[in-house]
Amino acid sequence: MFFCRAWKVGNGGCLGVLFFCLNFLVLTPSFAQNMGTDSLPLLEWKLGSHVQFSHAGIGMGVGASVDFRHFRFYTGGRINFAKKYTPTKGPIGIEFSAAYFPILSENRVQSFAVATYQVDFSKSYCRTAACVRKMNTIHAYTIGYGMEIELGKGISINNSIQVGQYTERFYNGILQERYSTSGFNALVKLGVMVPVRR
Amino acid sequence: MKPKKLFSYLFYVLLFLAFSCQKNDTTQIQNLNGGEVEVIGHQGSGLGTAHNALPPNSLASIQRAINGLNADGVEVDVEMSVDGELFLYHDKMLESLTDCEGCITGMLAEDLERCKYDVGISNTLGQAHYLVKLEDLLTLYQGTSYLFYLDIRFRNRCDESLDPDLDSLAQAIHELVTRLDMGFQIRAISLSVSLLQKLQVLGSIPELYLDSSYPEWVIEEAAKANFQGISISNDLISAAQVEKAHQLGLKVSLFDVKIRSNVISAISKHPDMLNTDNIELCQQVL
Repeated sequence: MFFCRAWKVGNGGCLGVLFFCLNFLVLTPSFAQNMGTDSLPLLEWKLGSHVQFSHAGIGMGVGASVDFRHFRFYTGGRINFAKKYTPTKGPIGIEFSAAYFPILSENRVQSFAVATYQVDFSKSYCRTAACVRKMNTIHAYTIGYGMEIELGKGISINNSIQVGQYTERFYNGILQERYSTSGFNALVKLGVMVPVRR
Repeated sequence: MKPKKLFSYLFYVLLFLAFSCQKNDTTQIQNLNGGEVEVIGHQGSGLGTAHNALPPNSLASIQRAINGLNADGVEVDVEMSVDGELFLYHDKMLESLTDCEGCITGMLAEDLERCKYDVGISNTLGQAHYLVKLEDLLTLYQGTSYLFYLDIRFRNRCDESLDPDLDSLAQAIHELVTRLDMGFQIRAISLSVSLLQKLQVLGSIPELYLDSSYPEWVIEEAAKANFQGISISNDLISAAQVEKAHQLGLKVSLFDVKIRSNVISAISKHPDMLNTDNIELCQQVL
C-alpha cells in the first residue's frame, strides 16, 4: 500500500500493478527450457472459458482459440454479472486476444504475454419510450503476462493479469449525444482450455 | 472427465447464470411520484470503485451520471467557503481527497478553485479534476430537466464546536437558485431541521428532505415541519415505515443502494427515489 500511495495508484489499479509486477517476477524463470517447435502440430484448436474481473465488471466468457507455434489467437463472447442485472439487456460482449508463448517449455507450467481487446454492449437507458436508444459500449485494451498449467489430456488452466485502458461510450437519448470517458483498466482472468480433438 | 464433457458443463453453467436472473416487477410501485422511481446518482455517478473510478462530486462523475447514463439527476454534497461560495465536497478535510489542506468552511473560494482531486493514474490517465463550484454545475444544466439533490453540509468542519452560520448558508443557496431560476430542478437534503426551515421560509426550493438514521423520528419531524420528504439509508427503514411516510405526504429517498440485493430490497419498499451508487443496475431493474 505504501508504494501505491507513493505512485498515486488507487483502487483496483494498485492491485493490478502489484500483481502485474509479481507475475512478471514469478514467471520469468519458467522461460528457461526451450522445447522447440518441430514436434508441435501446425494448428491446434481449443475451446475455452474464463471468469474475469476488470473495469467492465465481473464476467464470464466462452470462445475458441487456435494455437499456432508460439502464438494463440482467441475469440469469444462474454457476459458481465456484477455491474448490471438483467443479462438480456447486456452487457454482453466479444473479445479477441493474442498470446505469445516465448519459450515452449517441457514443463507443465508455461508463461505467456497477452494482448486483449474486449468490447461490451448494452442498451442505453431511457425512461420514456419516445427517446432514441442506441447502444452503450465499453472498450477495453489490455496487455499483460499469464501462466498456463497443463492438467493432462490437453486440458489446461490459465491465469493472466493485464493492465491497459478502458473507454466508456454512453449514448444519452434525451440529450441525443454520446458521452465518452477513459481510464486505467486492470484485468484479472482465470480460464480453462480444452482441445477440440486430441 | 473428457474435455468435451467438461466444456459442455461449463457451457451449461454459463447459460444457467445468464438466464436465471428474474426481472423485478416494478409495474405496481405505489409512491408519491405516480409510480415512477427517480434514479439519482450518489455524489455524481457513485462512490469510487473499480467500475467507476471518477472522484465523487467531481464534474466528470456528475457528467458520467447525467450525460452518459441518463440518470434522472444527481445528489451532491454542498459546503460553503469562508467567503460564501458554495462548493461540492463530502469529506471533513480537504486532504482526504484533494491536494489541499484544511476544510472548505475555512478557505477562500479562489484557493478552493485550485484544489485538485488526488486520484492518481488509476482513475483518469492524467486528467485533472478540480473542486466544483455549485454555480458552475447548475449553470451547465440550466434549461434541462435533470434534478439536483443538494445534501447541505452545514457544520464548520475546521472547528465543529463553533455554531454553524445557517442563515448565511440558506441565503447563499436561495440567492443562487433564484438567480439561475432553477428552483424546479433543485431539492435540498439536510440533517438540520433549522436549516431546512430557513430554506422553507425563503421559498425558492420546492422540495426539502430531512435526513436521519432514525426512521420513526424523521417521519414525525418531517411531517410536523411540513417538509416534502425524508432521506434515509435503505438498511434502516422498513416497507411499512415508507408507507407511513407516504400516508403523511412525505416522499422517501433511499440511499445505500448499490448491489443487486440492495436494489431489489429498496424497490420493494416503493420509494420515490433511489440515491444510488450503481445507476445502471437501478435503471435495468426498473
